[in-house]
Amino acid sequence: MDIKADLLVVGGGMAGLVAGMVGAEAGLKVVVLRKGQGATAISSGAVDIMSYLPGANVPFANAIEGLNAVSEIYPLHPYSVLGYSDGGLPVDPERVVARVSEAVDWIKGKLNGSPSALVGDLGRTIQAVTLLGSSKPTSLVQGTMFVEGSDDWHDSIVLFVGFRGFPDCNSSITAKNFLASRLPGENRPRRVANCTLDVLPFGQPHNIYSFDIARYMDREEGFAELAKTLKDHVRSTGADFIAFPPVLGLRRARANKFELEDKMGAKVFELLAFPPSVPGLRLQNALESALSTDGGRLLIGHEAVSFEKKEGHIDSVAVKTPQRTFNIIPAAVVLASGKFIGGGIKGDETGFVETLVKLPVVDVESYQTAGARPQRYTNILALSPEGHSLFGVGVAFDSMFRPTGTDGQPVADNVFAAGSILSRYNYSAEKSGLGVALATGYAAGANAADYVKGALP
Amino acid sequence: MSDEQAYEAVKATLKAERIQPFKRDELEAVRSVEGCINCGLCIGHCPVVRAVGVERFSGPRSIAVELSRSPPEFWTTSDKVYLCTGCGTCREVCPRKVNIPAVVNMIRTRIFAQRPDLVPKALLDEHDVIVKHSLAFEPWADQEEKSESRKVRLETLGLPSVPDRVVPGADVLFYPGCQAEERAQEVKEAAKYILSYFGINYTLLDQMSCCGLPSKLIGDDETARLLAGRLQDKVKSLGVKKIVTTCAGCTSNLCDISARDGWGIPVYHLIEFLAEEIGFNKVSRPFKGRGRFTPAKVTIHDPCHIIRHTSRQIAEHARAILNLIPGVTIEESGMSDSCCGGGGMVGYHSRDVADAVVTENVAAISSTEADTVVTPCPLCTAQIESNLFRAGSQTVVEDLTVFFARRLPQKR
Repeated sequence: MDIKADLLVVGGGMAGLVAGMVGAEAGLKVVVLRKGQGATAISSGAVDIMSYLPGANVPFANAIEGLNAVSEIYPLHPYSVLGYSDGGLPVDPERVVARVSEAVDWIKGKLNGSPSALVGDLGRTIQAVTLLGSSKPTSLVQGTMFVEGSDDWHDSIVLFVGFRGFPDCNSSITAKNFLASRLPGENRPRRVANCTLDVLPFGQPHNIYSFDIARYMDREEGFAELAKTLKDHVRSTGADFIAFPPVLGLRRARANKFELEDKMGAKVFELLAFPPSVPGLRLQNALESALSTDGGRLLIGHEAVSFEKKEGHIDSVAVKTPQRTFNIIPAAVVLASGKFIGGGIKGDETGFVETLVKLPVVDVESYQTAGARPQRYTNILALSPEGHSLFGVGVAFDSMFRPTGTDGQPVADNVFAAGSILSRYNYSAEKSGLGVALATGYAAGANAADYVKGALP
Repeated sequence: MSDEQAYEAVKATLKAERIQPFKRDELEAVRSVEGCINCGLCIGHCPVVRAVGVERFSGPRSIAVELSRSPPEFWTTSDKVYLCTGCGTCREVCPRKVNIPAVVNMIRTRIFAQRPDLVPKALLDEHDVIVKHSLAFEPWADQEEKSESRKVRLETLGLPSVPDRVVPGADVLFYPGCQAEERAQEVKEAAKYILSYFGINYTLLDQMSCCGLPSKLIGDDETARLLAGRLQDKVKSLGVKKIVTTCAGCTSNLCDISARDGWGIPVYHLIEFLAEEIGFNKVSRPFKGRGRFTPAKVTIHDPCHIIRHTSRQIAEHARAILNLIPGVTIEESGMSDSCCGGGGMVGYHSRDVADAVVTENVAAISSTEADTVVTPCPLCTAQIESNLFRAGSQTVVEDLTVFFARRLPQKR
């Protein structure tokens, strides 16, 4: 049974869900397809805007500085495109900052009250502490991962908490690294301590998974067990701050944080963890429920497999579930199908391919990749500030975020693209993944809504 | 030695080496494992992991990873692989659509063939029942008792009795599945009433025969394929153009084998058939202008074999159909798409795990104001009913087919 929609969004990660929400807010009938979960769900749950210039060792002072630098140095960067005036170049950096800032304020409003409500803004870099004790500069973190005063550890005692049988976090290593990565006098705490708690979601002290603990914390008895076992450690160490691996709950994380702070008389925060992390899933869940609050329809387990184009216009997209195929008839389409994780772009020995519309794939500098093997876009060093330009390949796009063909013209007048399917930025070197997804999802969703209403210039 | 001879020589050693080559129709699922990026999202979503932890059930990823080992080592998962309820949540959240439910069945197939000593005893017993009767349940010894039980159920529910019909040349085969044939007979009766109400030219099988899903889940691929073949012959000889069933498991499995074995016949769940083939227009007609109706607050449970193995569109149809019935209001529990633990034959040997999985559904259902849970699957109905009852809940559980049929007008 075919479905008619004003806006069809292909992809249900940050970019797609944001575009869908923007469309729904504009009064469109929105359908978002989510084949599986992607990079957003796997993420650390922190939203990076722009932390590093590729090749730089030192992070930007804040995202505003980062966006200004990008606007100057990379006029084709997706962020820079936000600063185009009607005539395109040159980029107006103030406009870039204003538009990203608008998207940031908007998403904070959307997630307000959810377990992954966001804290932070473009004017300040948050030095989020990771499970390894290192710091990661980022712009927005979930409220549970943030404590006021964490930019100044002076004179404080920080207690790192681990759980017996939970292999992801060795709190002793976290504590040591945390101290070792800070020189004396340089924002270093007075003392660090660590403890290992016996909190056993399933009664045995081994083979415990982060989601096991998080779900246990969603239950009263689990949280009570945590508070009880933690108390003595806090008292004996005199901790001012208590750092947890991100397991304070999938649903009740925020309430748990505040209740713990009350009970312990110390500030509580979650560390950033490796994928897949509990905060990543919290973020995905919160975005999905925000879409449904806005009246958007999320089709889970639905994959766009082919399309029909007439007169420069995509007018039908075939959608597949495990046993059924049907068509969605959209007025406009936002492609937010991701890159290598989400599957929007695939790369193998025959080259790169955009999987749905078969758009040409270009590299980070806009050159066609036509047939080039993905290895060509890797760096000899696995880990370096330059990163791998592999992560900058994607589809080319115009100033309206419409994907363009080899001739530089939009491939269809009603198709827009957002998130990591876009080329011309390297999210992994820049630490800008969710930020670009947010800002371009916001812009592409608005452009698609304007298109549907006949208001696109 | 010629290539041919070499091939035969190697083939002869496979059994001794405990190597079972993949069948052609298994290859797609095997290849899908190559896409695994080891992200672990599936573990975070798995309802069995959620219920019992990774210590007891190591999760979908570890089962998929088993395929990257040499084939004889499949048996090493035997303490885990039978705890999978086959709900398909892993495949649905997987960024790469790795077909883990199919991998589970393949591994069970290999353990069944090579190390039957590791197959849970209850599954071997069930295997004997299927082989003996071509049914997933021991059939009624006394046909009169069966018909008496049916009569009592119909009277309690206020459903009319529609005589069985086996009509060669009918358009539609109504296939109730083993559960509705032998246990939840009211579901079969309700479906017959619905189909005849809307004037569908349908037929039953002369003799019910299992679709083979339970055998597939036990790992008895041979019986599963035998039953599929037997059913295909019956379907062909009846000459039907469509198959309609009321069981979620039968829906997805019949879709699978119809496609795999080239039946060329589409398979629908009755809910889908009502929505897409009969059409909402016709389906809504009996309810128009009816002054008297019983108000009902219902919450829905969406069976995995429908939403994750067939299509979530059917869940939307279920809601649309309920909304056509005057007086019915839907209370969403927020957990409607979470596995009830009734699948994968887990309940046969590890009842504690099956019932741990349904705990969250029971809590979510209890927190709604619904007086009835409806679900388009007799197996989910039974699993949720017994667990709600044990939790002391007053909430009634009814198969959606029965719920709908009871609200259709009856000729007096």
